[in-house]
Amino acid sequence: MGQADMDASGPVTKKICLIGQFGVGKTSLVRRYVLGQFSPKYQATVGVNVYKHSDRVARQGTEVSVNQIIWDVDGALQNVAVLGNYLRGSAGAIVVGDISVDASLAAMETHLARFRAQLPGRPVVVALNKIDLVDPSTAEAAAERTRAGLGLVTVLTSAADGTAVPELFRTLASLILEHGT
Amino acid sequence: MASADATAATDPSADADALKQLLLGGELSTLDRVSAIVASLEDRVGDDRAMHDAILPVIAEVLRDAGARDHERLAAALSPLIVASLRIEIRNSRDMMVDALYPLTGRLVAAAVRNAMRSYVEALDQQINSAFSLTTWRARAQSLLSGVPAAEILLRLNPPVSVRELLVVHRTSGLLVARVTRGGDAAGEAADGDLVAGMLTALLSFAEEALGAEGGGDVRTLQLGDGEVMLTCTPAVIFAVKVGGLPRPGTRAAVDAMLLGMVERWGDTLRTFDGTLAAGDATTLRDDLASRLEALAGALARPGAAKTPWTGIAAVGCAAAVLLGWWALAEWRDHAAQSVQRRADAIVSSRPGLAGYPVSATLDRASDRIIVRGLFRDHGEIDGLVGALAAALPALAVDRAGTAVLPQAQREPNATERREVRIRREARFFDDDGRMRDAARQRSLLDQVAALMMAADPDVRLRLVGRTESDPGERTQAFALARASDVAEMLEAKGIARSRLLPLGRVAERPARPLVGAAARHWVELSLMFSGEAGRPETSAIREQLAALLRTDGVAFDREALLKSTAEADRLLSRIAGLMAELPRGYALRVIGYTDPTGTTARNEALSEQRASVVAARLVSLGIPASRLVTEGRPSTRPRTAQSDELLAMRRVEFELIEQR
Repeated sequence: MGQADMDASGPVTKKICLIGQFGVGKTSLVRRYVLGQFSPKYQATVGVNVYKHSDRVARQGTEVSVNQIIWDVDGALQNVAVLGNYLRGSAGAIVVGDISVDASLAAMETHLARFRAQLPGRPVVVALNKIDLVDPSTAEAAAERTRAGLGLVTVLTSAADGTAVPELFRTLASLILEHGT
Repeated sequence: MASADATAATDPSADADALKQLLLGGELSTLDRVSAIVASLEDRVGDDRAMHDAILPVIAEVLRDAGARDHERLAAALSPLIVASLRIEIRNSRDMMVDALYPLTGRLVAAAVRNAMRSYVEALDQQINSAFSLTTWRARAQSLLSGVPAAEILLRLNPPVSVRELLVVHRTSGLLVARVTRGGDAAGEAADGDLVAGMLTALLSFAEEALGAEGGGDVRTLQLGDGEVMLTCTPAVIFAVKVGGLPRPGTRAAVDAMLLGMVERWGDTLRTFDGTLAAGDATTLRDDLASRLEALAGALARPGAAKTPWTGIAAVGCAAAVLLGWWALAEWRDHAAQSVQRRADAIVSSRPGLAGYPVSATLDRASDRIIVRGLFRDHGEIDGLVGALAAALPALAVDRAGTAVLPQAQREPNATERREVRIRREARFFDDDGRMRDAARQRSLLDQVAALMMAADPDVRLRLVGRTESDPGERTQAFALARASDVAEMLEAKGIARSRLLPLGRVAERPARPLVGAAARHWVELSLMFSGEAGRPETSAIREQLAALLRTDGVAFDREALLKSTAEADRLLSRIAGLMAELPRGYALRVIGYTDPTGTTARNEALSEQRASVVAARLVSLGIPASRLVTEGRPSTRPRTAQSDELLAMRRVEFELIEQR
């Protein structure tokens, strides 16, 4: 009769949000991470998509199983109150920027500020996506600038070829576990 | 030894110190240390200020540690103090607390009222639907034909509500806290609970923000094909209960009650949920949810769990049937009565002997009688009509109380012994306020009387005697006269000359025959007068009235020649004087004084005459010439109440009308 989606040991379940300007590849990153898929066709997210992915994450020398409930939030919902509802209860966030588009990098600050205003102190990781479209030195330089500017862990990713995608999510998960949110 | 002595001799105190040092050196240093410690302690906690400064840095840590180490003891020690302070604070800051709580309580009350109204509307809706829906009536028809209860047929058409799944979602984060599915919900099991929980939260957030549910209302239902998801939101948790079938009134309440029970038990756990439940909690919660869900499913599946409005429908149906039946009966009775009346009318008009006579045969529905009224040529006509009616309408009794026969005088000029004929003994009834009862019927009789008067010779008059059965008295007599005058006016309005109408008022000497129940206390008798009874009809009417007044009333005396009540005496005397003034001079009044039998005869003779004179003098002062008054004393020979022992009643003055022709 009854069946529950929890095992007796009680895995850690965390909500995380992907935020950033539209078209920077948030959905692609999630789909690459969760489904191992990539589609070059752009399809805007309307409102929010919710994904779930279980992963093992390093924590104090051991590996912990974490259920990540990933909210892929519509990039256009910048100043809408509903965005606040979507972010609510998030344990951490990934702020995504398109490394090939300067404006999206600038927009990251706005997204970050929005998140921090609502959930101060929660871990945030920056993903500079689409590194497959730029040369490595440019990418590194941008990453350095971001690290220095935002003071956050910055990961260079490519949803198209899968570069550092799992690492991105695992980094955030580790920070969340450390932070204890 | 000698050197030692020398030393001791040179400095004895130094020696003593040396000796002290030698013997107590350890203790002395300890003493110094202790002194230093005491001094330091004195510095730290020696007075209140120092004590305060010393404890201040550590007290928070101490309390925290004490709380961690032995929480219960600390709580037991502190809680009375805290509770007492809180009480005082609450008492002192009541207004502030009301202010602070107002928005919250307001929202709670609003939500509760809204929910209650919604449930009520749902129940009403359901009742109306089931009362008027084609399906229900079809089911009833099928039930009549097949003998299968209508409820069973409806149940087949509309399967009972089934509970399929329960999701408990942390409202803030959208994380799934627990999920329980019941057997057979393949679709539900296939969907990932975490994703469903997340999307559900997102959906509710979206609805809340974008669609702006006013007054803080939440989405309550998601309709999904043949079932629905019932949503109940608390600030911490979203409960989603997926049900199949069409929920009935009561389903929602049962679901809410189940959830309330859950919140009571698990509220703290749910509020503090951060993505993980303690292993023990997870299992217990899941089992608890499963058992609650089973209980809910069982309750909803039981027939009658969700109340169907059969009782209400049955009551409405019965009421409608009764109303319909009553209406039909009333209609039928009306129709039957009309038919009887038509037949009676036909019989009356078919009798040639009644042509030109004011005769009616009316159905009295209250008593189921045919009442024959009117003026007949002779008794044979009455018998004939009554017989014909009885033969034609055997189920009804025929009442001839309202009939009269034209006097002999009218038919046989030589027979003069009967000079008047009563048209109807008790014709018209009035209530105590002087209003006519059953006015329509009375007016129709008045029409007949008027027609009769018009057809009769001009010297035929109508006497109208108003009667009232109240105790004798001036007011009631006036009342009776007023009623007779009322009727006279009505007849006058129908064209009868005033000179032919003689209204009189009388007090009935015995209770009225109860024709119309006990309430028949005032009525008017109508009599036709066929010969010039008195030369002046007005005179005769006044004489009648005065005679009636004199018959029933007198002036009472106290001892000697003192009036018992001057006011009462004057009221009567002025009325008598008024009527006397109307009468021709040929009429005089005998004023007779009475005494009781006590005392000497001579004394009583004088007193009786004295009493008559007192009254006569008052009448003169009221305008009656002394020539029309005759005084007389009748000491105790003819007391008004001959059999009475009451002497007082004998002390009075009475009157007699004298016609000096």
